[in-house]
Amino acid sequence: MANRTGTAQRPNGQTQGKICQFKLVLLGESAVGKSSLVLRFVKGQFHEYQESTIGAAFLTQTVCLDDTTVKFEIWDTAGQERYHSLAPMYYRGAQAAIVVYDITNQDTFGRAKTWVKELQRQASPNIVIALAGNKQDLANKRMVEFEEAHAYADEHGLLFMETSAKTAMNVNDIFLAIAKKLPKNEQAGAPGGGGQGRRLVDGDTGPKAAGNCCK
Amino acid sequence: MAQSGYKAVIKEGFLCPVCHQDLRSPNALLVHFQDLHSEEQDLLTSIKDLVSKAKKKILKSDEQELEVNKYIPKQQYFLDPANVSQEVGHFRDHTEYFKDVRRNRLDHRTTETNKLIIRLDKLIHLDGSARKQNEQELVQWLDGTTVTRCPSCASTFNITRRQHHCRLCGSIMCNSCSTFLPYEIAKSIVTSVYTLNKGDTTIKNDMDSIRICNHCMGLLETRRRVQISQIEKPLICQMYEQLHKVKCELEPLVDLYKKMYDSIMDGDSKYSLQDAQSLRASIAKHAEQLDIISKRILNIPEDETNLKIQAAIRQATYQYIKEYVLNQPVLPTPAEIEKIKKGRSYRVTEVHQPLGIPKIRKVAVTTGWSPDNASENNVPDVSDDPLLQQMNIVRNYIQQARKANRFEEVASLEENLKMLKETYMSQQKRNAGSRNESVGQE
Repeated sequence: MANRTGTAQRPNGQTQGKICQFKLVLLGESAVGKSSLVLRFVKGQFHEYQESTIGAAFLTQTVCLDDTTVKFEIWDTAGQERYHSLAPMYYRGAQAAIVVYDITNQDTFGRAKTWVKELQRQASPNIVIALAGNKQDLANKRMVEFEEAHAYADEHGLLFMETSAKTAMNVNDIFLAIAKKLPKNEQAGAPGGGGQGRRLVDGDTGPKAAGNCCK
Repeated sequence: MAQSGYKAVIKEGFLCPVCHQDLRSPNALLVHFQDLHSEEQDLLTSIKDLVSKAKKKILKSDEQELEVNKYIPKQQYFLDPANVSQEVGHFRDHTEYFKDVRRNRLDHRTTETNKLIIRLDKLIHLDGSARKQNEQELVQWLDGTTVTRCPSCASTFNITRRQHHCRLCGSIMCNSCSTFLPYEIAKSIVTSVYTLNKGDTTIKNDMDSIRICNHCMGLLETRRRVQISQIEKPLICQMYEQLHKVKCELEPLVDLYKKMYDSIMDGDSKYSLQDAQSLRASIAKHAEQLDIISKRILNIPEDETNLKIQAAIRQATYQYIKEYVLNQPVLPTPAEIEKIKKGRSYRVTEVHQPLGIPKIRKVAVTTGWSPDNASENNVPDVSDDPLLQQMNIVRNYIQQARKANRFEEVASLEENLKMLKETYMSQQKRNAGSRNESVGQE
């Protein structure tokens, strides 16, 4: 079943050879700047007063790496507590995740750690996780030290950058770093990267996982 | 006449010049004269002349026509041998000479203009105090003591018509032969040369213009006109750019269509037939636009040098539409799709690889896309259940993606919607189950 879906969808990834499509999810406490980060990446815009996200927003952007084109399908989840039940649906099928915290708020860093833990426990084992310390432009109000976050990221095998959606600092860089780290040609041949993302949808994993806890 | 005492008599009519008799008609006069005064021959001839002249005048137009008719064959006779063959005589190419002269003139003009602009730049940034003195330091003013007339209009200078100096070349002219160049314009002329300018701080309000002569003004104006014409593109270029833009929009659509077509022909249900059809329609619309623009380019009234290019553009576009756009395979009917789906299981492994490789290369949506987030307000917020809410959001996204011809996104979103539905269903089931259990327990 999983293989079939893999083959059916593979032509897009495989035969293009140089084009890979990945699902990426953004997680983090509300108001840390997830939507701003994506908006900066996708449209190059920044809104001082970004409305809070409802449910999960969907955006796409393509980046070029040498000879490979990576298309990101980005799901920007709402940070508010009431939407947390949606998050698993988005990170389970994702090949990459960015966990965002606000460097001027220690609590958001704590929440980010919880998200990382949840991802490592529940998401696909190959998921590429990046930790983003956003609002770097407010470094003078910093509450989370760079070294502290960096050490934590190293320890858990995460990509780490301090970003600023407002100044665009490191925004493209963090997405590029993820694109580089994602398995491409080698694994694209096997039903690896892409397959994992889709498998849950039409495949057996989803229903089984759901079946274990729901039925 | 009355003074002389004679009774003045004025006779009118065809009078005989000798005997003053009125004969009442020219012929009668002639006969009378020949009969009675034939010895006076001189007079007779003069009268004859007069009459024949009058005759000629009346008949002139007829005679002229006759003359023309007479001459035409003659002309042809003379022209014919020239047309048959005439060797080219000595000739000489003046292009080099012309170019030489032109180059010298252009060089001269350019250096002169550049000199003016450098001076103008300095003049603009002069300090307001002792302006006149500073101006004269920059540009040597002509000594006006021996100049009595304006060099360009030759009017004499006096108390009312005073001498003025051009601030750029220092020459002398009268008020009406000079122009005032506003500082704003002067600055814009200079800044197009020196892009690394000193900024706005140097503009003084009290000196809003400088006096220059018409000659310098002409040079500056010519330069400005040339610069503007360099920036402005001719109509044909503008339209060609438009054409190119439509082409750029069209190409990803065609690639996507090919991809969708292949996918559908493989019996895959990732893309819906309706989406493919609407994509096909939008491709057709783009092609139509290309056709219209290229026709318009062909019909631009231009000088002959461009005619060839215009025709070539039209031809190329026509060819492009024919080969690239209209060549797209027609989509199968729903019944055919069912058939394809049935036969799919063994086709998948064989057909896939060779089909895909050349076709799907270019499929890369290079720009980012996101649904309009403001439209979230349009999503009816009927439910408190975040799951239902999200389903509405995704449905709205699908609509927008479809409108934007983003069918890859549509596929992903559809997938997500399906997952949301499944989750919702299992949630409902579980709720119902737990309710039943609780009922059963009771």
